[in-house]
Amino acid sequence: MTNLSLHQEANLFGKYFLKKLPGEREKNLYVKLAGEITPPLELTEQRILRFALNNKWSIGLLDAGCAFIRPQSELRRRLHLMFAILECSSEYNDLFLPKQRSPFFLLILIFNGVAAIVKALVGSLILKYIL
Amino acid sequence: MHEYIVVGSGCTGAMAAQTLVEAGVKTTMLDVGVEDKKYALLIPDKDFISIRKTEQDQYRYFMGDSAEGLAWGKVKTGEHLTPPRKHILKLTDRYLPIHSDTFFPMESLSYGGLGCGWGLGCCTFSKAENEEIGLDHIKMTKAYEVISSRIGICGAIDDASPYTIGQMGNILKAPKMDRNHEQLMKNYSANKNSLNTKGFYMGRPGLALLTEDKGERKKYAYRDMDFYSDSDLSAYRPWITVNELKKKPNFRYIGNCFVLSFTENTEYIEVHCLDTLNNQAQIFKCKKLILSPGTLGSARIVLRSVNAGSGKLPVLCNPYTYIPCIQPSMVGKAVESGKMGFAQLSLFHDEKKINFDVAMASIYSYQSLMLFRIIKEAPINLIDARVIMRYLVSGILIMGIHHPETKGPDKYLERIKNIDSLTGDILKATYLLDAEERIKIESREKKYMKAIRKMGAYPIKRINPGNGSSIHYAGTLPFSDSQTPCTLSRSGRLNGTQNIYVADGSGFRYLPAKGLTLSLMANAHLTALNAIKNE
Repeated sequence: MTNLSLHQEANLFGKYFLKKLPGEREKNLYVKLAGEITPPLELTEQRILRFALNNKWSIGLLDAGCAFIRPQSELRRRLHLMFAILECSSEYNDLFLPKQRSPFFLLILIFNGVAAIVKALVGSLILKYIL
Repeated sequence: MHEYIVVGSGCTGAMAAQTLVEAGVKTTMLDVGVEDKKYALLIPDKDFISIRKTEQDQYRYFMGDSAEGLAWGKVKTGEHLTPPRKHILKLTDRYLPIHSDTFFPMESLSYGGLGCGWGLGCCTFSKAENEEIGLDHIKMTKAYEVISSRIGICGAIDDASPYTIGQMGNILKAPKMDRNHEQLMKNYSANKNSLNTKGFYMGRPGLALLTEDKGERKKYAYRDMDFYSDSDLSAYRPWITVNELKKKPNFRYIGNCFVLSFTENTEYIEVHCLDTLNNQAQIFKCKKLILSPGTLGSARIVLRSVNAGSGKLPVLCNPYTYIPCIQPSMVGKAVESGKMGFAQLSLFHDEKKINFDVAMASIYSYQSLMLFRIIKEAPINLIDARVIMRYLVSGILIMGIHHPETKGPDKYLERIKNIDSLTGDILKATYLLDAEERIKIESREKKYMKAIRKMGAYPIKRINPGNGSSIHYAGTLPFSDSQTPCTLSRSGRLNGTQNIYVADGSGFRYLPAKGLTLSLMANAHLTALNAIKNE
């Protein structure tokens, strides 16, 4: 994996979590660490990763599908890396610290729970198609 | 020639050495002594929330420079350690090789040993427990006081105190609880009678934590950085004692020294070592040797040094399970500063109400360990998991249950020769619980889950990390009144030798579920006294 493609990956994964491009510092850290921790990839892992990078709309669905049926997949590992980098950033920590509940927090929990299940089902179908 | 050699700088080595030094004898400590030279200095003296909000380099100690804090895939014992604590495991693959499909222990060659990652839990053992172990209860009771005055222990008089601080004096007041634990304690009090009837007793744990200043050590400052830093020395670590001993004229510390074996003749003992900088052989001569490299470490050294008969040594390790729980009334509470990472409550299960065969659960909050450590376990996508976990995390409690352990035919260690190993051998471990033990553990954990539900917290999942994960090991050289090889006399002397003592938990014939470190330290103190008195 080249540094250029890791940069693209950092942008895509950062945007997946933040809805905007991550800072340079977080991107550079992702490139460095992803380059260090990535083992040689199996063909199936390469396929999933390539599909996600070429179809950015699918990242969330594949994340959900992998969490459900391939929790140790490389895509999940890299998303987890970006998650950790953002959580360990003073700029984005507010997105990760405990949140005071709003009057609608139960609705929010239910909505996110249902959304997660739907995404997992669709993601699993996409994974079957890719593999 | 050295007068006394102590092997290892962990909790037992530090206490044995302090006893020797205070008695005025010349003491040398041999130790590998791996230290964290990378992260400790990076961590600012700020609380967890301030660090999260202001420090740009926080990823270095939360995740690690090489993302070593992001365990992925099948997680081995010890991989949960945070980057500033990872040095605890350094060099162990090389010098302490172990092979097993059933036992996954954690050992350490660090400066301070496993004590560098100790959760600080301090429990006194009851008379019945000490007798079953092979220890003199009256002497142990006095030794608990000695250790308490050395290291500083806080606690409280409550329902749990018969199992924690017992009759110890000089106890510092307990630290304040966070609101998650306060709520649980309130619910316990409301259901106390019913829980007590079923044998459950909850209260504040004894902790080797200062709530008042003690010399250069400062009282606990509620920074909630306990998994990362020891900056104010409020938490006891064995290296604090060794650092103090280094100032004494009758103490010498020799690092980078891995002890392999010993030979004893009528004049002296030869201690055979490897210099860990170049793996060259070294020999030290002494009059008396006190082994305290940890139960498994002592087993290795003794198996290399004496004829071990069948070649098998017994081993004990508390079965351990942890159960994340949710307390719904605490879900969705804003971030709380001034927390602490150590256990804040202990829940004991003493069904027969005799302070024997007691199980112990330590209860922790989850905040300073970061979301990324748990979120990967969620079977949903990371975006929705983040939203959900931010609400849930304030209500999460982790209940870690330790069960008492007795010896069994399928719990043993063997030394296997291996020319590829630096030490020329490898430790092979077998650890299997029998059906009766498994049923008892299962039944007890179900009772724990019922009890915690009664207190308004709901178990999410029961996680058994496997044998060895409790990091409580004992019983490899059990106390024996006969002169059987590979056993210890009641004084801690290795049977068949004149001047070789073992000061760690190797002699314990039974392993109570209560945290054993205080008793290990008390026994190390007594063993050192016995070595001085030639007992």
